[in-house]
Amino acid sequence: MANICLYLHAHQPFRLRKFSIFEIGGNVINKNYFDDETNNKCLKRIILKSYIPTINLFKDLIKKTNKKFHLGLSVSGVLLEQIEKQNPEVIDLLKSLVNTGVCELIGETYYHSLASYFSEKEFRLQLNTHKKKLRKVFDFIPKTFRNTELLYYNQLAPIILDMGYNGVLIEGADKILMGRSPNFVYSAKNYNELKLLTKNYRLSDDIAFRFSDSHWREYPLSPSKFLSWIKASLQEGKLENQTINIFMDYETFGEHQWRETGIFDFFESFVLEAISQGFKFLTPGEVIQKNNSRTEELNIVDPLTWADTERDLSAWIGNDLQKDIAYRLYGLEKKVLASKNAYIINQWRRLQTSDHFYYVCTKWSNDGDVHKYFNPYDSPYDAYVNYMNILRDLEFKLS
Amino acid sequence: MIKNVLMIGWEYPPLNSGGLGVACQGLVNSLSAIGINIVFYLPQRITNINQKKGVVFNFIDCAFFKEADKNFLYTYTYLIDSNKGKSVKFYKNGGTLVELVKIYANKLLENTKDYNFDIIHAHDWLTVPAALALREISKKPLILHIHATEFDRAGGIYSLNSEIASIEKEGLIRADKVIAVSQYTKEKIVNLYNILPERIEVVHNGISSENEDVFLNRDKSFFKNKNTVLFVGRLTIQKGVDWFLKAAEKISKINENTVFLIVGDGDYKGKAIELANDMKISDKVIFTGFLRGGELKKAYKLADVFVLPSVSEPFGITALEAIKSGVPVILSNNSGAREIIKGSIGVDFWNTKDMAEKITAVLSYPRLKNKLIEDSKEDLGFATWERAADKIVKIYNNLTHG
Repeated sequence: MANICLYLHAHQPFRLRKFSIFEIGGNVINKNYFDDETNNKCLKRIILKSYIPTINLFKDLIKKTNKKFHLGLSVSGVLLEQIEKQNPEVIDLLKSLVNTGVCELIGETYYHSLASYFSEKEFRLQLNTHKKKLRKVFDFIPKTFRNTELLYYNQLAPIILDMGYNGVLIEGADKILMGRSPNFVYSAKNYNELKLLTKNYRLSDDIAFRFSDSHWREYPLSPSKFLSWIKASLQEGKLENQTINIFMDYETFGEHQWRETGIFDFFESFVLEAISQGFKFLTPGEVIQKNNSRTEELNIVDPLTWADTERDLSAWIGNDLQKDIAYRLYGLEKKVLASKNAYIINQWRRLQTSDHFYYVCTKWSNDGDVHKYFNPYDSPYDAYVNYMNILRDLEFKLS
Repeated sequence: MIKNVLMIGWEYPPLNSGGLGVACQGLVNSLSAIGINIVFYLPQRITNINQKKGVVFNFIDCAFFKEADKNFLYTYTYLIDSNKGKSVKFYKNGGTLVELVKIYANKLLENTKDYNFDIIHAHDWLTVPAALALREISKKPLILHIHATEFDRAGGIYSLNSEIASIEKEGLIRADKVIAVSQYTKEKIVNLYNILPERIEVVHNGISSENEDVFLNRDKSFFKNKNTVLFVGRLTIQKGVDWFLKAAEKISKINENTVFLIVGDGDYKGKAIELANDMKISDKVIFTGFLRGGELKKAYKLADVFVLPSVSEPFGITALEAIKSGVPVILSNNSGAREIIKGSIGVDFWNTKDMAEKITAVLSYPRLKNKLIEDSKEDLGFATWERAADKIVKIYNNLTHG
């Protein structure tokens, strides 16, 4: 039978505090740009609603299935940092999940940044920082990589390889697959040793976005219906080479889809039924290991991400305001590093978290609802102003 | 299909005090353009009306524009005669504004016998007694179009004029359909008067798509090298000019180079001037008085940012005028315009610190300014009188065939 590869991504940004335009400059050097109170409150809520019940569900499933349930998990560095500080007991829970041996940790940029697009040096540094963190907290060395927002394009392949990874999770967008199935393992252009796992976005989004949408004509989604769709997506021939890649936000469980929607029960039944029908759950690393011979290459010239209908970077650096703050921020790299001020350097890196750019997105229609859900600001203009005020203050400190 | 509409209005350009007249003109022009015949009633003679084909104006002489009366506190205190360039106050006619409204009703009834019409479309509480009486006699369905509620005009529930509120309420209850100029206004009507939401349709105001550019060389004006923040509106509590001045005070402390242009007239003018004086910013604040036509367009041209700080603004046509002139807008969260102008920054009128910060941000960040101009122009494409007219015709037809 075919495989199912479940991969979840957990992340919470350091949200910015309200920073007045009249506050720019001044004498205080180590000004805090972040809203500790809100961040703690959000974290607490998500831990209770999502992280803890989901870890418990997964551990339960691992036990019930005699370790037949495997999964991949990434936790951004900035989230790990917040959990360690505010709710260290959750670190122990995560450790117990990783220690089952069937949960693979995935590497990424520590600051959940788009550094790969702006600065190779910064990108490499953040990969290392994240790797060190996983090693220190979980005693785990990641071999599979996911870039922020699943950002990927050809030029990244040699860097990712060089950083010690042999596989990358990417979006299974139609524009790069061009009629091919997302259920096979592919490899990077000119780098066959770097494998690409492509997200099955239809099936992933059925759970992540549509599950509780009562206007959806498939609502309510039952485990057997979902399994029948999985089967329908398989091609004739060798089934064991085919993997359904279900990639989504960890917060899908209990936060984007509340407990009341039945998401936890749905998922439990789905896993048990899939296993009883002979499906194999594999971690991303296990899928790559099974397919380490020569595979077909994907040519990905333009930046590819998992967001919006465009599947590009336009949700983060699409409009003039977003480009303005992104290029300004990364333009400060030399000055920031030259300051040798650890506090400033850390603040600058936290400002790279992609969420800050997402808040400034002005795509209203279609994907606008998804954007609104994640946005703490009244409007993208407000988000821009607040970010600019902070950036100006940082520039002032560096001048 | 509805062909003949009898409209009851109160003011009309070029003799209007604000948005009500502008909105009526926009609706009359766009409805007549798609073949609706309109008989439009006004409580006074107005000359120089720009009259379109299929529209007949009827002036009921209520004779109340003769003498000044200082005791009027409500919205329609002022009518501005642009031909003479000065304000004309109501003649009390021995009674109150409410009595005048009733005189209008009586005189109008005598006058409508000669006309055939399928529907009555009345604008605001001022026309309610006339509209209800006509509905009673003619047995034709009545649409009451709400451009502002008494709540908006009074600036709060505690200063409501109960006599006006009860006329407004009676109109809302007895009309066959209510049109509100925004979702914001609809909610006000539902919550304030307990009207069923199903009975209210929202039709946002628009702006004409005609291009009427004016020439102005800013570099040769006083405003050269100055940041100009623009306010346009009646100077009343409702319009929030006092909150605007408080924000101006905060900005002036930090930025020497910003001036505040206040366009409009009203019973709060004296106090506003005093307030600016007390704040020691009178050299930064310019009161132009009431402007219209080319003069108003020049004011928009001078502006770097437009602020609508209203305490309660059913719609806010001035926001659309500013956008049309290429000015970025900061809009009160208590405004209908904010619902359709996504390319705007919202502000709570009472949060003057936030208002000052937002104004300063638009003045300081040129990319923000440009993006707001670009995005709001796009929104303007959906805010036309043509769209409003299409919606209203659907409401007419549903009402007579449903």
